[in-house]
Amino acid sequence: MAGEVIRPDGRSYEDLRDTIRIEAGVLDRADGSAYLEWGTTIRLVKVPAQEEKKLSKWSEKWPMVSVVERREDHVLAEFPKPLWKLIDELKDVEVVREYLRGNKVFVAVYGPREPIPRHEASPYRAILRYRYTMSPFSVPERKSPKPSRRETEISMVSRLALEKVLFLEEFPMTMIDVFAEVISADAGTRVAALTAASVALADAGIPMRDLPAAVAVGKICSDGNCAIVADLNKKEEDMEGAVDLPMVVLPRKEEFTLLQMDGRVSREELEEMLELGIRKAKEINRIQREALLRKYERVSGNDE
Amino acid sequence: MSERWLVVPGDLITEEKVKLGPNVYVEGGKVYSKVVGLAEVKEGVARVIPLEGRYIPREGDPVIGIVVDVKIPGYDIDLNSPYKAFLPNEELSEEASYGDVIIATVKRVDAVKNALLEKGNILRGGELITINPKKIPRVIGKKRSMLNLLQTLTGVTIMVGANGRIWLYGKNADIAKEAIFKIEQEAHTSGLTDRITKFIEEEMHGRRGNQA
Repeated sequence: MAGEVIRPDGRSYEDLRDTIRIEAGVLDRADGSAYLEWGTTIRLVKVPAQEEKKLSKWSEKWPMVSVVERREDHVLAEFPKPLWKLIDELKDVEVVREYLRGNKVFVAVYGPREPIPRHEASPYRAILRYRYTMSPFSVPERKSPKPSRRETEISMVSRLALEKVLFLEEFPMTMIDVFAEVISADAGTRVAALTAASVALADAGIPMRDLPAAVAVGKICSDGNCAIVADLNKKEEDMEGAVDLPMVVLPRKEEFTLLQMDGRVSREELEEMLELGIRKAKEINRIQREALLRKYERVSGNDE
Repeated sequence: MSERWLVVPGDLITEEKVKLGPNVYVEGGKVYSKVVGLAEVKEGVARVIPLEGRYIPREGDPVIGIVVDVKIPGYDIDLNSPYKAFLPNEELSEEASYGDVIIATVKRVDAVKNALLEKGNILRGGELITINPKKIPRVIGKKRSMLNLLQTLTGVTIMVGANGRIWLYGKNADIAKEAIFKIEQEAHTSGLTDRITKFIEEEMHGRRGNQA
């Protein structure tokens, strides 16, 4: 790992994506809910045509700086937030608009409620259901609405990751339903869904040991150099030889309830990744806490 | 007033040796919260007053339920809870039918938390509303202070069930209803009694003004 690896959106190795927003209690029919946005804020910029040379130099270095449209005397280009400082180096630029490219997830929690089917109920604990789904419109190519093998599997591991955190034994003969719907996807949707699910479960008032935070860390390589990085986006995940390791962390005890890996790493690299994951999970945990507390501060704000 | 603060699951409440109240757990000698709520350490007891969650039957709770099935030995009652409740015939002086609103007391809760009710009465007329059951203690207030306030100011008869159902009967039921929803919204804030008094007085005054 001698040389430097440049992340496509200009982030440094340990940075999460620039925007992680969570709001608790967004669905009034559910017992608990959360909405999460996790991605990169992009600026669409109008650049005079004579500046295009600079743009192509940059996009060679950072693929996420890209020209989206050419017009007669100007081009439209996208800049991810970590590279906004580059915009100032251009002459006569105009910021057209800003938007988020990333994951958007709704999570609804119902329960504890009457179990259906009844024969699955246990007299010792509540049964937990976790349903992860991706909307057909969440990815550029239509995703079939049929639950895929991937979704079924993610649902299962997510359920197992949360089961250990909840005091399910307090609600015998009931069922707790968690529905996570990904409406926009850009790598790391399972951790986005789990991060939102833990806020939604707390919002439903279900007793938990901790607020689990989920994050993915990974390894990306270019030109023979490799680096351990946090929170891979779609561009990075698709890079040659990329390794992705989603995890769920109980931030207080620094325990893992989910670890999956896609790719190969050495033992030393894995240890480095886990350590980075714990630190990043604690950052996400702070955002989760704020989301829950904000729900109540919003109300007490109208005191006077 | 003792000190209370907002906590989320996993937040440390105290490292001291205390008795455990509801919604807390111990790990390594430290006390942590299980839920989102208001934490409090008072008289050597650590507890968290939850802000969310469904109703779980507890012995002695007054509850307001709806008859969902009429059987030979009694009635199945819906308590706005994941658990079922049963009211035997002999605990109700008259015959009820499907859809009747019943006020009763939880006599016993079994191992899987299903409730047996006693001292049932049918509530006729009036209006039934449902709020978050965890906010009911605030609607009642210390020594029923909030409830008495609501009843005296509005002149509405109010029956409160621990399961989040409230039955209102009287001319100004809509004002009382709005006041209750306001209490539900602001249950975790302090100085609520004063604000509710002001709210009701303004509403009542506005009404008298309109009639004149």
